[in-house]
Amino acid sequence: MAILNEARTRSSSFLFGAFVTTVALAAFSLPAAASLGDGVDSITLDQQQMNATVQTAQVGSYTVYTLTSPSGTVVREYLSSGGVVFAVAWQGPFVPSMQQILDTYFQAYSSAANLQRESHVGRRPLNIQQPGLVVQTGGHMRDYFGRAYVPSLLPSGVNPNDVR
Amino acid sequence: MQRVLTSGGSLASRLLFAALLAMVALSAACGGNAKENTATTFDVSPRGQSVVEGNSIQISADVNSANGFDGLTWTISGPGQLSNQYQNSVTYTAPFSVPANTNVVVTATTNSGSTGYSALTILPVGVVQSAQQNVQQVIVNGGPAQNRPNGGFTSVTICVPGTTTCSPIDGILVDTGSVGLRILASALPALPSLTDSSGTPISECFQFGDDSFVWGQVVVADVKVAGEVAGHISIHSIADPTGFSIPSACSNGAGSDSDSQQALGANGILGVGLEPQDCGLACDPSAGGKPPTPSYYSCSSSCTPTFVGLALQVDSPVVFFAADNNGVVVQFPPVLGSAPALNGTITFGIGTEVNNGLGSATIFTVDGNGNFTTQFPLTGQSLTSSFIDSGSSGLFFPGSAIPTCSSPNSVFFCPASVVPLTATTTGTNGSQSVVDFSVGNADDLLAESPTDVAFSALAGQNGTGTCQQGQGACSFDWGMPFFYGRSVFVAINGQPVPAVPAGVPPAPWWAYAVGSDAR
Repeated sequence: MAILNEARTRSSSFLFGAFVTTVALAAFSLPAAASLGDGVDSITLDQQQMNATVQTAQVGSYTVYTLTSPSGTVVREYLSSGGVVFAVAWQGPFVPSMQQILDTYFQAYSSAANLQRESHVGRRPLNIQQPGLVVQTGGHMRDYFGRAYVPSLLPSGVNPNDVR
Repeated sequence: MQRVLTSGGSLASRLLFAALLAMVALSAACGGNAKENTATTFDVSPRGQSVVEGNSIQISADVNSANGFDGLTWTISGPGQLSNQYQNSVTYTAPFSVPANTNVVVTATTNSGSTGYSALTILPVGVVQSAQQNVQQVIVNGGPAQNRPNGGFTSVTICVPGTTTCSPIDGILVDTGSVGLRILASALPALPSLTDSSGTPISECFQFGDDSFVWGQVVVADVKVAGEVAGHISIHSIADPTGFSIPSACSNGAGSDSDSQQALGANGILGVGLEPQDCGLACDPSAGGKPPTPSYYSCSSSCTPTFVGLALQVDSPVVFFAADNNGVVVQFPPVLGSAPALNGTITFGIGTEVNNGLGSATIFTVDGNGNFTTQFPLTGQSLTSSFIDSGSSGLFFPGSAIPTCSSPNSVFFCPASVVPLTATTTGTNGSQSVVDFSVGNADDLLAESPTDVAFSALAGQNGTGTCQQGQGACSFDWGMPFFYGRSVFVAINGQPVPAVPAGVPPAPWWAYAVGSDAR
C-alpha cells in the first residue's frame, strides 16, 4: 500500500513547489498534455490541465502522484525511478481525457476501444489487454474508474496489481 | 378546440418571480422552426399529472393578487371543462369517457402575456392495462437496431411543452445505471432549447464507463410514460448540434461518439437511477469555482463549460411526476439460458400504489457513490464498488479465473462449459443476500444474436487484480441478467418512501426480491 507523505518533505526538486500551488488555467486552452510513457514534466501539465492539487507517495522504487481535480476526479500517476510514467489510474465522477493521459499510446487505445465497442453494442467495461498496452475502465454515472499501463515499462518487481 | 375561462378586472402591471419559481422558470429560445414564443414565466401546479376520466382536479397558478390573478385567463387544449375559477385556481373536469390516454394542457395567461401550464393525461378505466397508470411494458427484443442483447426497451411520449403536440417514441433503453432522458435528435419533434440567463443554448456531454459519450443540446419537453407526466423538464437531445464541434474534454477517440441508433443500440435512454439529477451539486451554480467538465456547456460562438441549476439539469423524469415519484421497480420473468424475447415491466413509485409495495424485498443501502459490496468467493474479494445496472448488457466482475474470449469479444468470458457461481450482495446497512448465477461462453451466446436476445449467462471481466481499501478492481456490475427473475427497486436519493413496512431506511437504496413480488 502506498504511504502518503506531505509534498513539502520532498524538497529536493523545484517541481514540487509548483505542485503544491494550484494553477488556474482554462482547461481547454493548453495543447493536449502527456502522461503515459512520458517524464515527470507531463505530470505537471496534467496537474495544470486538471487544476488539481497534488500529493506524492514513495512506494519502493517508484513514486505515485495523486492529482485531485476540483470536480472530485482523482488521477494517480506512477513514476519510475528512471523518470518515466509507467502507469495511470483514475476514479471519480468524470472520465479524464484519454488523449491527455495516454499521449502516444492514445492511438493504440482508440483503435482497440473502437473494436470492442463496435462488436455487440451494449454498455460494458472496457478491457484492452495487449502486449504493449493494458487499459481497463468501468463504472457508472458519478463513479467511473480505470487504469492504463505499459507492461514493458513496469519497473522490475512491480506487479500490475499495484496499479490502482 | 379551446375552452376559455377568464375573470374581469384590472390589468396586471408587472411580473413577479417567486424565489421557488425562479429555480424552475424556463427561458426558452426556440430552435430554427419555432412556432411561437413559449416563455413560461410562472409555475402552475401540478406541472404534470394524470386524471382518470370523469374526475376533477384543482389547478393553481403561482401568481398573486399583486400580479395578475384578477386578469388571469385559463384555456384548455384538448377535451374537458373548466369551472369554479377563484383567485389563482380553477377546477378542471376530465371528459366522462376517453378511448385511450388523452393529452390535455391547461394554460394560465396573465393580461401581460405571461403563461404557465399544467400538462395532463386523461386515463380511461375499464381497460386493465391502461388503468394501471404507473406501469409500462419493457421488452427485451434486440432494440430498434437489432444489435442490443440484454437490453430492456420501453416507450415514452414527448410533447412540445405546453401543447398537445405529442409523439410516442419506442426503443428507449431502461437504465438504472444513469439518470435522465436522452433521445436521438432525429426521433424528437422540434423542442425549445434550455438557455442560460443570457439566452445562450445549453448543451451537454454525458459519458459512459467504456469511455463513450453522447453529446447534444438540452431541450425542454413534457414527458409522459404510462400515465405519469413530467411537465416541462430538461431532456438531452443527442446529436452534435450544427456549428459546434464536440469539446475535446468530451471526446475520447474517434469511435467514442455514441450519437447514433447503431452506436447506442437504442433510440434513447431512460435513466432511472439512484439520483434525482445526472450531475447534481457539482454542476449547480452553488458549487462555485469553475464548472466541471465534461458536463454542461453554454454554446454561443463556441462551447464553454457552464453551471446548470439542479432543477434544470437532465434530471430523472420520475422525480417530476405528481405521484409515484420516489423510485421505480423493474421486473422480468426468469430466463433459462437464452430467450428470443422477454416481456417485463417498469413500475413507477415504491410503496405508493397497491402494485408497488416492497413485499419481501431486501433493502441494500449504498455509499456516497451509489455502491454496495459484493463478497465474491471465486476470487476471495470484497468488491466494494458494486452496483445494479439494467443498462449493462451482462454481469461484469473482476478476475482471471475464467478465460476471456478472443478479440473483439475480449471483455467477455468464454469458458469451455457453463460455470455456476455464487456471490453475496451486502448493503452498507448490513443486509446480505446470496445470488446464484452462471457464466456461459459469450462467443456461443452472442452468435445466437439477434435470434435470441436475452442471455442469462452473459458475463465478462471488469478489470483484473485485487480490491484493497476501495482501490483496484473493486466493482461487480450486476447488469441485465440480474433482473431476470427478479423485482428490483431503485429508491431515489431525497425522495420519501412510505414507512411501511417498518424500518425502511432513507433513500438512496436498492432492493430486490426473487420473482414478481411487488404488489
